[in-house]
Amino acid sequence: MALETAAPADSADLRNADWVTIEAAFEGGAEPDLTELDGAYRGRLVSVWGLDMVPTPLRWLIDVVFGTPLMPWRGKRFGRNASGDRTGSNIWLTMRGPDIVSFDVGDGERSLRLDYDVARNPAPLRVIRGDVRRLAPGLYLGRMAARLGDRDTPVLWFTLDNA
Amino acid sequence: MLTDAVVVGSGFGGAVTACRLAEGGMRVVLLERGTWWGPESDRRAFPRGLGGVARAVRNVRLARANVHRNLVRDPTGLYELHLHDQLDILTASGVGGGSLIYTNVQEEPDAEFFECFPPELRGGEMRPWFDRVRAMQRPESIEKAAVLPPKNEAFRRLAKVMDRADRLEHPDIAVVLGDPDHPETVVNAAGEEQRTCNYCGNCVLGCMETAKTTLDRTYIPAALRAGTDVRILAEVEGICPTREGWQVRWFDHAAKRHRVVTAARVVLAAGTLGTLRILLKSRDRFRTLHGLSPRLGLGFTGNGDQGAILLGSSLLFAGEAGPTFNAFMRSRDSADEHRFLIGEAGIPWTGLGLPTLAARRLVGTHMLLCMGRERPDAGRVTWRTDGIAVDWDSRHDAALFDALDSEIAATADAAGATQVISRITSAASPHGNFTVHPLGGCGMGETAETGVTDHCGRVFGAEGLYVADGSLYPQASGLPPSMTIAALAERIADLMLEG
Repeated sequence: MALETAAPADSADLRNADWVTIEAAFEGGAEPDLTELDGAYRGRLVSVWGLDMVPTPLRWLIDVVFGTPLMPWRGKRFGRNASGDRTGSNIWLTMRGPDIVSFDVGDGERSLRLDYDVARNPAPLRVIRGDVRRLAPGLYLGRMAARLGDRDTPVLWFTLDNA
Repeated sequence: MLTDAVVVGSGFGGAVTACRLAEGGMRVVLLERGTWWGPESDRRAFPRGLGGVARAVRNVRLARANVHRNLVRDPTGLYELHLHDQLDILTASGVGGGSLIYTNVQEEPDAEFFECFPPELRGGEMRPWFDRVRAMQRPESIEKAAVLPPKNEAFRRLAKVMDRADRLEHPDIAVVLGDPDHPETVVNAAGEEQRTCNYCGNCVLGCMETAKTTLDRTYIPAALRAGTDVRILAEVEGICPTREGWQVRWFDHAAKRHRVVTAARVVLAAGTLGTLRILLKSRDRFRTLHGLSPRLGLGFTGNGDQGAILLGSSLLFAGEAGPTFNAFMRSRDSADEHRFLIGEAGIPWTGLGLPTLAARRLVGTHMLLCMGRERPDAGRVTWRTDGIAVDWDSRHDAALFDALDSEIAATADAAGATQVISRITSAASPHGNFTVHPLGGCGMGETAETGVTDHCGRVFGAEGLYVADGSLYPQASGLPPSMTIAALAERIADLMLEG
């Protein structure tokens, strides 16, 4: 039996994949419960807009850099604020590093919605919206987009993992 | 892809379930976290010598209140030692699970033991399932051997000295017995070749003679012939219900990456600690499992295990010859129900390959192994940050463990031992202990208020999810549990096939 044809189970399964493949994986993902993501998740940048158009060797090199300390983003942390609403923040440098750039968490379209339009974020970051779906227990695929007018323009893909 | 069933673990629960489900026509994937062991060239050889044993350690997991750490981590290792606050637990890893290093005993509990199970399992219900296990494993008593090992003669003398000859029993053991001086090849119930036992006494290090009827020589070959896809070094991380059934995420230690398989049914048979880890991690860390019984993790027991080392015994046989644990003295309570047993567990001296000087100094050193019917609701297993933690303390049944202490002292005295080291444990507290039989935590019950699964092993609140291992025990039996686990798995598989 060919178990290897199963859905993505690891961020490695999506590295160097084209956007169509990543979008298909996202489509196949499940909507997490609002309370499902809680605590710290290791993050991995999977792809950014335009990477598809970069020559393959350079794309591989960029992907390697995504997995090294040269990429300071380490993941996301989820929890609740004082009033009990679901919130989150990004983790930088190390998994115990500072939490900078926050977001509110809510229900999206078959996904968890990450909304960066919060008062303490710098204005340019408030246009960011994210959607997160579960690919497997402990593994999530996220799409980050910029809110331009009334449209979300996808900018990058990332995974979150707490296995 | 969607398969019919994923079975997690290949011990007495998983090997049996995978085999029977595949024979019944299901497409089965068996995920085993360890590797193949044995004398064959394509398997890892069982450890020999102190260095070999050290190199065969998969993990030493410190799970104390303030320290959670994995001290060794070799996914191809055979032994895993879990050091909890009050309880040390030894488990095995490999195709065949605990059968690779257990002491071979295939003992059925008395019918009254099943009173603690749901009513469907009472009144002789288990008889046909025990018979099926017996037909595959072909266990027999050491008394049927052509030559009785000298250690058995010594143990008989000990029972006589203690005036307990009437309590002496020789349980069936899953070892192919014959003339130890002239081992020969025989074909077992699964059509596989095994050699008869040469009485080397290295059973708990793994049998390089293939005389020990481990599951990788019976149920697993039968499962493979029936089409089971056996994946080794495949450690399950978590599970999640989906529209089609169940998603199982596992770590492929060979490729060093995660994989996912989706199945209509999942059978958790990863051993008590393994199954509890998967369920608790899925519920409390991944948060992908909801609505389980509040009993999950409760009712954990070490099966009343207690070990002791006797030094300088003049009565017991000074050597390991013969299957490790093949006779015991049983104690029953006023209602004639099993209370505890005590027997000599041979130390594998030749397999450990001690230096001559050390070996000489250790002549007369023996190990006693006891098991008792611990009271129900002995302990609790919970999820703590990055692993499970066992909350257990021998004071919950002080009467039993005091009785075991007394029995060990009396046995040591009768055996002429000069010194006794009892309650072998790394715990600093005098209430700690050591077990090789972690059981319970997913106990069978009539409802979700009284158990985690029903009498078919179906997890309450999780359709398509089954448990088939020692975690099903609602309470301790005080007997080696492997045959009961295998019989329960036979029954669970049969009921799964009936739909």
